[in-house]
Amino acid sequence: MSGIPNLTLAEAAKLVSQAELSPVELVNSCLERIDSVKQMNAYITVYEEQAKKVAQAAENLVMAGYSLGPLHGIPFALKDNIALKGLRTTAGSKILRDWIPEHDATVASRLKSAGAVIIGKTNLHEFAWGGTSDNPHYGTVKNAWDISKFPAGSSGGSAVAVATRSCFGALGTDTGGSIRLPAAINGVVGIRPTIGRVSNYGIIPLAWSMDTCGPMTRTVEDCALMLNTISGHDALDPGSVVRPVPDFTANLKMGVQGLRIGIVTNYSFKHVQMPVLNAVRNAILALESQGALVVETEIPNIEDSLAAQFIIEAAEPSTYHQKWLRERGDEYGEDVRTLLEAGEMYLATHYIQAQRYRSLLRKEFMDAFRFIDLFIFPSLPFTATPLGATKVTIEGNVEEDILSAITQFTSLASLTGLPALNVPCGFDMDGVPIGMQLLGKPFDEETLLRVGALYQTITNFHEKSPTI
Amino acid sequence: MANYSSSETILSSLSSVARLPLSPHRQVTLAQFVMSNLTAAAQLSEKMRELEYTSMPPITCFSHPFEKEEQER
Repeated sequence: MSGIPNLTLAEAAKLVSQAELSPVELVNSCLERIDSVKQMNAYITVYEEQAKKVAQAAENLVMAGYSLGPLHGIPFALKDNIALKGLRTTAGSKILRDWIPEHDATVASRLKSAGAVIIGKTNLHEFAWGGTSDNPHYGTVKNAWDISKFPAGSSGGSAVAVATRSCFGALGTDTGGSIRLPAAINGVVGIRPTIGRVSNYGIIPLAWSMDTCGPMTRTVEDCALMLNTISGHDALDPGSVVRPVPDFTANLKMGVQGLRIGIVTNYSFKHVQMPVLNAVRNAILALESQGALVVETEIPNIEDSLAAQFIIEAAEPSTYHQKWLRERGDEYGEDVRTLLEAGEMYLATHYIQAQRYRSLLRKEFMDAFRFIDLFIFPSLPFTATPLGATKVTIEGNVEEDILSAITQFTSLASLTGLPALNVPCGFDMDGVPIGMQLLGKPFDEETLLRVGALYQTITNFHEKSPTI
Repeated sequence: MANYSSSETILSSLSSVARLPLSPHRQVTLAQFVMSNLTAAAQLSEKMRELEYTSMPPITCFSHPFEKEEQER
């Protein structure tokens, strides 16, 4: 069983389908890992007995010649703001500590239908409203590579669960960067799909107009496999789009010859710590060496993205939480309570002007996509900060709030609705991972995955694992 | 922008209008944070009210940003 944690999702799925590896062994291996990394607080709930039973059933099916789908018998974890029928879903909150959903979220039911074994629910920033996964109710999530460092968030538990190989893939949610940020800082792959590509039904909202759900995995191929399963129209989600879902694994080996990579000269490398700058620049050079072309451009109004992001991401959650905030305010963690209270103070015109800014930013990106195939940015402008820190220094001696500094680059996809993929591209001086963010055209996740897959064939950052 | 004590006064008015009771302690915690947020929001509003941007509609969860492009294709 010692080699199991080193298998990728794709490798494990193939072995299970050929009856060469037992789902029971996979689940047991993951449960052992979960136990050995307990101090990282990656999980809120582990379904030990249920997962073993489901794995046994999956094994019986394989032995009888049946397969439920491409993820048959593979253990996965879900962020705990994704509903599972009959099993508590807390959203990392005290308020929903005992909530038992009556329905599966669509993404959960699609994973189950493809044969997935749900092994547990992962920890997160309370109600997904924050970027550190410092959770006052279920413990502070710790970075998989250095437990003295933060794991980013809000899907911190999902990223740590994947990085520590206690599951073969996890679902996260991403409103302002909550998949891409922890993916970057824990050295895993994570994609925010185009808005509307993946159903949000059954997921506790943060900011309705920007919420998305997506996979977090060790490799780009694994990410594509999971995205294949969870994508597609869902009549239960009014924001879900009716359009065909391609096979996201189909073009992974096409290479990058002739692809045009956009660099935003007035933004891409401004206000970024040096290790991040060097890692992302080296990644771009590596892609150029494989035939990609770098195109420099400007996005004239990009600088206002952080302000717009903060207004929307403050006002919408505060709307959702209005009743609880008044009746159960003391049950929120201090930081989330402050954000929710502050979000009620904006004027309606502030919010709508921010929503109009989204159109402006999207138009500028769509104009650029006439001569660019994808953009590359850092996923976040700094490397992992110490646990508990609320400030970060990026340039000079100026301290900034982590919450606003962290979304400098992720806000771009969140506001425009465009897809964005984090791919590990290096390590800082303390050995904590760094990620780059590929940002693509609407519904063109395929190109992002294709570039990410090529990058993982010429680098080995994704093969390294933290010391457990 | 407003000084600290006037920030608390403004916050008190806003929270009253929102019918969101804030204890004196909560008001102190929030005052500067809210005022800096409102300053940034006002600056963005100033920009977006310019004539060159009047054709920009808001993107909301009820208006999918890519439906129009899809229809045009």
